[in-house]
Amino acid sequence: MSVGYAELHALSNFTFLRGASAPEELVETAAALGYNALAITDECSMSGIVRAHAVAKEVGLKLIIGSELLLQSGRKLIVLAQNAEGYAALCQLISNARRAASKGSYELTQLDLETGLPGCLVLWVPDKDLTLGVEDHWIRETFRDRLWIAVELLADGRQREQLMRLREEGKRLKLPLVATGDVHMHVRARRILQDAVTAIRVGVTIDNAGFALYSNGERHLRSLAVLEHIYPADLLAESVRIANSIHFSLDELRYEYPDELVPGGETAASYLRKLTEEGMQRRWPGGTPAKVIKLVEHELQLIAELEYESYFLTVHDIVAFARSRKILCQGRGSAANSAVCFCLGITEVDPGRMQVLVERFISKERNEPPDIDVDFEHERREEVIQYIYAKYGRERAA
Amino acid sequence: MSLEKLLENPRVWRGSSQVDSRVGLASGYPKLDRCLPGGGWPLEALTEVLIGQYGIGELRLLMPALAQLSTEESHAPYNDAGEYAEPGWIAWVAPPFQPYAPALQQCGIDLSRMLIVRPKDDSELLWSAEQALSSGTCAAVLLWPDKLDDQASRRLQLAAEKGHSWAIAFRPLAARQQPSAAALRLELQSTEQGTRVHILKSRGGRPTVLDSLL
Amino acid sequence: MSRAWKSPVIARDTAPTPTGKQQSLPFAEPAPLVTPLSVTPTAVRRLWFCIWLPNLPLEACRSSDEALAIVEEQHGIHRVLQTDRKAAAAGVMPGQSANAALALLPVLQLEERSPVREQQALEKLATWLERFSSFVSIAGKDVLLLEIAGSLRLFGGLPKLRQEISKGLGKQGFSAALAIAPTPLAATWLARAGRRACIRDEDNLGPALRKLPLACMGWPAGQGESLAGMGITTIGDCLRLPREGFAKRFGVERLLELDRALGHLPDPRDSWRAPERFCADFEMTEEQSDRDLLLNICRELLTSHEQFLLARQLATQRLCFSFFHLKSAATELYLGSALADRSAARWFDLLSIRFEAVRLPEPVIAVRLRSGLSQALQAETARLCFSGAKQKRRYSIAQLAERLVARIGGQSVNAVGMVAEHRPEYAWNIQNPLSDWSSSTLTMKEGVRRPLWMLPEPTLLTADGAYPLHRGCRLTLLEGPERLETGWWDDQAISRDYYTAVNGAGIRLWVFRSRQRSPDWYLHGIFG
Repeated sequence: MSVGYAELHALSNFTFLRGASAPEELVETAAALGYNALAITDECSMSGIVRAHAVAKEVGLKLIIGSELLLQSGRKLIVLAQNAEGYAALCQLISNARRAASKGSYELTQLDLETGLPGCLVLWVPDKDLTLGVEDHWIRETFRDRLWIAVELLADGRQREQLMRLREEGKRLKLPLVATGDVHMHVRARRILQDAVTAIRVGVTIDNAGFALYSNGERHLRSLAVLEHIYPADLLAESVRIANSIHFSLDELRYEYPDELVPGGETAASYLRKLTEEGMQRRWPGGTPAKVIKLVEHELQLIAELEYESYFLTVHDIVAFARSRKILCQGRGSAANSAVCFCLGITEVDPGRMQVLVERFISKERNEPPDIDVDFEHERREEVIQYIYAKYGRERAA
Repeated sequence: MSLEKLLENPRVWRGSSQVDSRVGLASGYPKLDRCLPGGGWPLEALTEVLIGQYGIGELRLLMPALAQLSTEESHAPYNDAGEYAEPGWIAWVAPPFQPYAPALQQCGIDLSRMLIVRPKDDSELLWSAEQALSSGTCAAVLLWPDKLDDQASRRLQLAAEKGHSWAIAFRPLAARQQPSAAALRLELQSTEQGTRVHILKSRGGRPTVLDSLL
Repeated sequence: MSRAWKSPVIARDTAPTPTGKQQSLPFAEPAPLVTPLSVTPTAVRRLWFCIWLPNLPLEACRSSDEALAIVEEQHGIHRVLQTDRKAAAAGVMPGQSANAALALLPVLQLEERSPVREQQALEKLATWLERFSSFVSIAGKDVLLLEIAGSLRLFGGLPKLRQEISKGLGKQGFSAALAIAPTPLAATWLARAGRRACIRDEDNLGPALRKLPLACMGWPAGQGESLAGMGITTIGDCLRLPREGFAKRFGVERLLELDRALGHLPDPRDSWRAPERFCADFEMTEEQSDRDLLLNICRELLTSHEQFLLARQLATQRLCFSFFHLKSAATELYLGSALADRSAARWFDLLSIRFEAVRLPEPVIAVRLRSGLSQALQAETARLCFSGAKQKRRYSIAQLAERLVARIGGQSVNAVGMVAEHRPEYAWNIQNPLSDWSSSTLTMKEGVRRPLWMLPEPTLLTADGAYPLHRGCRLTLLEGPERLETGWWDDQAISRDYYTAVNGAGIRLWVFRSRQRSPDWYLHGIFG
């Protein structure tokens, strides 16, 4: 195969009422077509990424994470995360933009991008004017050599003129061009759904939607042969070059627990063990039964393997606060299988007197964090909430 | 505004200094305007456009002037009561195909002031054109008659004068041989370099050939 | 009451002057008619057709599937007045209390009697009856009268006329008793008596009336009882009573009524006319086929029409000229105008254009002009006008359009507008040039080229390999493709690649290659 291609501008149906295909469909199709990579760039959102990531791993496609953003001034940008730092910057940007507006919308201005988004690559998607006005030159200044002009040739009759003018613009602004597809669906036939959601979004019936609908179904993942026919080779090659320069995968991410919980001189693991032992002594003043000790050891080992210590410490911290204020609380659910939770005082199910199976609670196989539900006295729950806000910060609680 | 500037405007009617001092409507093609007496299309008169086939620019040639008539108030014909009215309508009588609204709009024609008339024979055609021209409500009337004899062209000319409208008749190349009362006669031909405009007859002007006008 | 005839004024030097007479204007007085069969200067032969609607309260209601009874309040109790067949079958009878009726038939629908509804029904019928006679009168709460002497010829004789009216009434759901007599009252009484009488000669009137029971005169119950007490039961009995005594006992009015019924005294009636409509006839003594003459008659009628409207500050948008023939059905000519108008000159203008195309199967014996609903003159259906000057212009373009339409037909004059549509053939539509429409805010997408000439339908082109041919020459593709694939929602889906192409002769064409079924090339437009 002579030509390679990476689609760097694709919306999934997580861009509500614009994208018409699920992230999984996009990933599977891109893989089947032999793309080098696919970027899921939902509008000011990361919602589709996780599903795309899972499927991409299955089918062996390189997934690039990004987001399409429309600035207040009307300029459209695609921001791609090049590495973990870029990912963090992009997430922060999205959060800020969403917070600045009412629910369901976002607001982005030049100020928000002043940080320069380190670790991100930016594609500018030109509108019908095909030019970057003077008032937008700051985009070029801010992103310098991390900025491209996205050329989207979608059979609207102006392709030749568009390509020519954008090449001129690229020369003028000293920016490289890259081929992108403005993908809204995975196959052409999906345009029917895409038309339907467009009509819904605009709030009209489909036969009144007129020019709000796209005139054709080109905004899908096109085959390499077709792309080769439509785009000049250098634009396609640039997409691959960009994709190759991106080294980031969601796998790199781990949840980072707050580390305020662990007092100096201790690690999360050691502190958890300490608290557990203290709890054991409280529960069995006369001596902990051997069965329980065995259970606790098994659990602590499991927790250590899966690195969930901080999680338990966090829950313990909140429960301890509640108890100190004599606020009634009780753990429930599968957490009742945990000896450690009993020792920490989170639950009241005595493992010494019941058959517990910690694997119902956490297990290596399931590979997901445990879920501890704690009920708090209704009338005083607000105190607990305020404690959490105060200690961990409003932004880190939900 | 200086007097010269004012007089330069082709729509300014100058009294006695010219033999034929009737003003013309700027066509949008300066090369053409220079060769036309009055500096443009002859208003309140009949223009004949002779073509061998459709699609060689016969409409494009007229579009700038038609667009102007369609939207501008100042050049509108006035009705019999002598009052200035809003821009006149453009009537198409027996067009060979459908005048396409999106394209007309792109050319600047006001679609809300267009009338398309489809008579069933030549006598209805000429009658309709005459009615439209003499009514004073149409700024321009385009017609595609099968036959247009000398008498008919005279009548159209008179109707155009009466209603202060611009009549444009499209005719086959063979009509070259026939006499006509038209104030202006053009022949269009398509060549490799573009469309050639041959001014066959004009009021007070000489026959001229303009190559690759379009 | 006699009236001086108005002789027709026809401004023509050479045309033969018709010997007919024009009906006078139906303003406030009833219009006298001329009977062409026997013109006598003093006496007028008239014939009255009476329609009595005994079940009007019931029939004026919408028909329902369920049994229906009309109730009327009498002394505080609702009593059944009339019942329909279903109700009657169940035993519901007039005079019963509403409760009793409901007890007999729980599903019975009861409607309160509505004089307003009945009056409206009468007026509606009267309007319908106008087609049979230009003199229709509402003569009571359930009686309609038509003067039909003049209509007999037009409708092919009395039996036919009667049959048509009878049929029409039945169709509209009314059961009526009909009678025909030389005087209105006689016709009314005969109808009420249920005699399907048809008396054309006044001499026969007396004998027919004498036999009728008193009830059909509709006199107050008290008087009827008194008379019965005296042994008077028929009209004939009444007539035998001494006049003075009768008048003293029962009132002069009753006596005069009898005189009028017998034709001894005239009985002028008001012609009922729906207030907004105009209807006038011009009858000729001889059939005419001279079209100029007919046009002049029409002009006369239009002048009357104009005056009628002028007096009422009204204008109209529709007129109907009916040309009556002896054997064939009437030829009707409808004229419409986008703008309400009353000017006789303007209507005549339109008429003369239309009239040329009208074929008259036979010579014409009478001309009738009816006008449609009128409106206050200010109403305009043309687009909004903001200044006096613009108003004049709007008026003028409307006039032009009407003149064109009058000659070449409404389908052939129109305007075009833009539609927001990707599919080229639907991106435009036909508009009425005079009605208020606005696509002026729509703009075409930038940058894309559209041809000035559009073919009514795409024409298939032959192809030479991958290239389309036009008149044998290969087309060179210039710009494109513009891919349009849309329109799936109304079964007119297209999937096409459009190109601008040029042929050997330098003509720029708009072609497309189909992506549905077979990849054929089509010509869709020509860049003018």
